[in-house]
Amino acid sequence: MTTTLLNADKIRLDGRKLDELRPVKIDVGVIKNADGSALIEFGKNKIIAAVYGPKEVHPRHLTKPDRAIVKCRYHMTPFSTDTRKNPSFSRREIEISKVIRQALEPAIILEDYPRSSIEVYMEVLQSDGGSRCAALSAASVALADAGINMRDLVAGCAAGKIGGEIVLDIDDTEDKEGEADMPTAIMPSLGLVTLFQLDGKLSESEFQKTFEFAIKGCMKVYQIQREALMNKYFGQSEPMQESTE
Amino acid sequence: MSAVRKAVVVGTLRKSQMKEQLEKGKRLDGRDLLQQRKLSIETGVIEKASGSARVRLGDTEIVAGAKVEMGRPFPDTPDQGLLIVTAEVLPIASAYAEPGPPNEEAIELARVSDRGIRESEMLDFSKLVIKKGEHVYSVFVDVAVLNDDGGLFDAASYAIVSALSTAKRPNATLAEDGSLTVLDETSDLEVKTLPVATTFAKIDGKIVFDPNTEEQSMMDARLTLVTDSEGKFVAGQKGGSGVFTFEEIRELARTSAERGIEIRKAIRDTIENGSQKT
Amino acid sequence: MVKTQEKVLPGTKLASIEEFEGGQGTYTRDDSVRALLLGRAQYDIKARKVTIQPVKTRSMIPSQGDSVTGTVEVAHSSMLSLRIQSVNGKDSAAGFTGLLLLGGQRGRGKRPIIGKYSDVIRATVVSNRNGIIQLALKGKDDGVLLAICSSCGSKVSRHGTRIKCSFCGLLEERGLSPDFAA
Repeated sequence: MTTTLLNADKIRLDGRKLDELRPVKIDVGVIKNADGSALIEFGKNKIIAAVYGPKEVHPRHLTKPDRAIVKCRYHMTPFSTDTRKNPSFSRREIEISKVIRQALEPAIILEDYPRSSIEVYMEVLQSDGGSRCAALSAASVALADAGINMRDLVAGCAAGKIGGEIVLDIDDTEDKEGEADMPTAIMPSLGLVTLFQLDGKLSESEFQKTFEFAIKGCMKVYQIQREALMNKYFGQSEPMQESTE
Repeated sequence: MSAVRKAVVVGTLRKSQMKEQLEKGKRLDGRDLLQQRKLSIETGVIEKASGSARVRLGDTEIVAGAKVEMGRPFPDTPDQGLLIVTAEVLPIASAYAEPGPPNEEAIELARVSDRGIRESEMLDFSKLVIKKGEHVYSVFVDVAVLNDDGGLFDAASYAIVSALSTAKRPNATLAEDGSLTVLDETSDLEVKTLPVATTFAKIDGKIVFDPNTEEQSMMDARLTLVTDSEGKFVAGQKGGSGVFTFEEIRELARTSAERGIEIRKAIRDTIENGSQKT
Repeated sequence: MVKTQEKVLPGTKLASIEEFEGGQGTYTRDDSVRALLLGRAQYDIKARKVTIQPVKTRSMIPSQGDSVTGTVEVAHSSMLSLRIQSVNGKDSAAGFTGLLLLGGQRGRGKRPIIGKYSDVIRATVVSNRNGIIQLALKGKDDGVLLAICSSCGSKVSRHGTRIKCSFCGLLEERGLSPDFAA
């Protein structure tokens, strides 16, 4: 069953190499009303993230006197999947919303916005494998677009195992037929992990290699996030400069 | 706000005491950094369940009950039995647990538990089929947290594994006309591997194993890793609003695999002898 | 001498703490000064300070000196609570609450009535310490911009320093702004 995911030359069904990312494209500022927003196309995933806030907390008893609270909602539209998805909030969406929130919170300087809430909405218009990593990568760009004080961007990418090989960036088919999936998100400049999940079966050495791949994938996504923000605010022509040390 | 965080309003005093202890390689409850609390497992605690277990991990107490019933397969998996895992932190479990539908913590607990069973292939779902596309076994695993003192992922995993390992399934016969008769006799629900969860918390830059509620309220981040009998990683989940370094994740994988071996032994002993205390 | 350059993202390392002190729009972690915002890093060589000129300046949480307009949601004799609807002339959907304290003359006869429930008032932010937005009628155009009759809810018009209901004729006291819309 799993052997069909890779051909003899270890090329994947969609023509990718083992360590190749699907095409990723990010557009910044796609939702006019939002304080910050981004559209990410990650393989067949099409996800819009929008940020509202900081704003007053509702209900009020959730207010924290010394910091902002983050509200996060990852939601799939009914037409985003092969068979229609029930529009109501599923257990999967509740869990993903939680892990994404906890992946973004370390990056936001919550103490700079006491008594307020920062709301992050991610709407999956079309889903493919790895939608949580794509959604959170878009959300992090939307937060930067909203001008919210952040320690770093958050870049997400999954690695996994298909047909006995460790691969980067699992798509829908590979997720269903493959052996393991490790969604990961990091703060790339600081080198810290903010989201980590695993399902599947990996030996310890495979675990370590998959984790290595996931980090590499996150760094690739980070480059795309960076270019998207730079293009939006500084225009394409100007080259990006690294810090002079 | 998380129930855990609400549960203990840790004074700055407790936190600084904890920091002091951590420096010495100890914790507020006297444990070493990687020491688990006292674990006791008892199986067959609910007679009406197909399989059940009560786990006490320190002051945390969890009962898992498995029910194996006849069901219809999902259309996309006609040749597979079903697994449904739920978890509930009962209102009796702490001053901050509330009645009502499961909150995001309970849903996370159920989903991570589910992944451990499913991904480890602990149950061979292809064998839980009576007639393809028509009749399969549905395995329901319901976790009830009776007293919450943290470490729910771990305690739930031990309870679930113990309950499923001792569970029976009803035998059934299929008549010529396709009608199903459920018999009084039962068979063992065969279990192929024992996935066990290990949860670590990062507090003030130090890693501790098996955090209790108070420690969870102080932690920056949490990592749960589930390993099977072969030491393979089958599930993982980071929690909390903090971060881990790359090296911490790598190191925790090694530690988790090691700790899993001891815990699996305790569970195996329980399954064979009925109850076990470590 | 200020050297402006370097387009930076949140997290970009700007300098080590030995080289530069972190100013506006930066934070320090371990030995590095890093950017908090998308913008241009400005290095003040003389003061040895690096700051970020953000690319997106927008009024987020109203802060000291901002002029805000809001609707009175709660009116006490000593305080009005305003739901802020615009900050420095720009609409704000953030829905922050500001407190306009009317104190100062306790026990010295009657306190003047500044505003009542549902009035729209322009005020100046004097503090947002601890996240509590405190307002005062400090600006020359501050005061009630819009009101209705507190008795029958009808339109009112300016009547000297007071307002008069067009329907029931009730005369009411208000702290009117020069921009009061009659």
